[in-house]
Amino acid sequence: MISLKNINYKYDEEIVLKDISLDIKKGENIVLLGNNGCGKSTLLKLMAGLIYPQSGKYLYKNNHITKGYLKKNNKSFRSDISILFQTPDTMLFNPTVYDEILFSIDEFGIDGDVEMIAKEFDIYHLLNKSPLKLSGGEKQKVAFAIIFATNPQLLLLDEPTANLDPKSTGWFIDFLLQKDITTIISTHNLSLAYELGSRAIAMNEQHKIIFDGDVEELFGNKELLLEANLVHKHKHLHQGKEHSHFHIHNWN
Amino acid sequence: MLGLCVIFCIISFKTALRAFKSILIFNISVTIGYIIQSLFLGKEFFDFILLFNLRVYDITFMTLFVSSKINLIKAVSFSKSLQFLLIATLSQIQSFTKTFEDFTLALKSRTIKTITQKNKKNFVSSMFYFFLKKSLHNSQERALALKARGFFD
Repeated sequence: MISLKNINYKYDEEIVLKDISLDIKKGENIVLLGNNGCGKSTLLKLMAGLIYPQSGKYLYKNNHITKGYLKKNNKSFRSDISILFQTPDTMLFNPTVYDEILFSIDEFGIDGDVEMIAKEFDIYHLLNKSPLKLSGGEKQKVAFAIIFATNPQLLLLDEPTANLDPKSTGWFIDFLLQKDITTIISTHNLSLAYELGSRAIAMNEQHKIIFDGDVEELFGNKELLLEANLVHKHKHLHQGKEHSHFHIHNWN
Repeated sequence: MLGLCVIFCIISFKTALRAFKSILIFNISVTIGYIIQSLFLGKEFFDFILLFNLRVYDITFMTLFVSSKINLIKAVSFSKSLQFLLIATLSQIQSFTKTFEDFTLALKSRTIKTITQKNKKNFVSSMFYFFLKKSLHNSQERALALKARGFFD
């Protein structure tokens, strides 16, 4: 479905992605792990065709994704891929939540029912409210609704549970596990990665992929987890005895 | 002036291009306005237009060039308060620039047709509201942080 070949991306002379190569098959659930600023969000934006690499090739369904290609095939490409941004506010601009969902349906010519979608995402009671007045968690749910409303084949989710409370996080995990969509989730929440991903891709602070394989295999490799800055070591007391061992970060 | 422009291009073509791009719309609109006014008044305009454009370009280039060579934070290191203020301002600019880019990319990802005037208006006003709210929140937080560090009571 997706093939990235030696992708390099710079932002104002600063390297953000370095020699990224990977292949993603249809139906895979992938978690993209790495510390803040390692390039996860940029990689998702690149796969969504929103930015273009300075060097390397991005192939989607064997088509080389370039500005020229997207000019001709914008509709089919954007209908296939939905991206959730880290800050849901950036995605919401319509006067009400109802208009927000309706916009997605109309824009992509989907035969959908706004009220049904709202019920599915537990935002029916918010339909007449302005997205600007919602809480962080509510905005996140509206953002989920608008990206799922277009029936995408590939979902790119950037820190999807960052604004959710534990109850909503649980709901989201259950919801996503029921769906048969290829997903790539960027997170530094290891417990979420464990729940949702079958394949893990870890990036380090040098913006390179340092692991691509089974989630459990990554979790068993402490050296790699340390290199990706996903775990840390610190000294503390257990039964009055000072020692140090690994701790898995769980940011939520 | 023209000679200076050529020297600038030799020094740093990238900065020269950046300066050109950043003044393009402003200078074109001012130039057209001046030409129209001069034609009505029957005045000569070529010399002034050339001088004005080259001056703006030279000043812009110099500003971009000097700011790229000088570490502003180090330059104001003589004053702790000024340095703190500059860091706070720069980090705010950086964060807002990134968020602004996300707004435009998110819109791009959600649209396949040409965006209507109504949606454009909604998009701009929601973005404006977001930045206004965020700026207010950030300035309140920074004021508290400064207070906590003894900058003012």
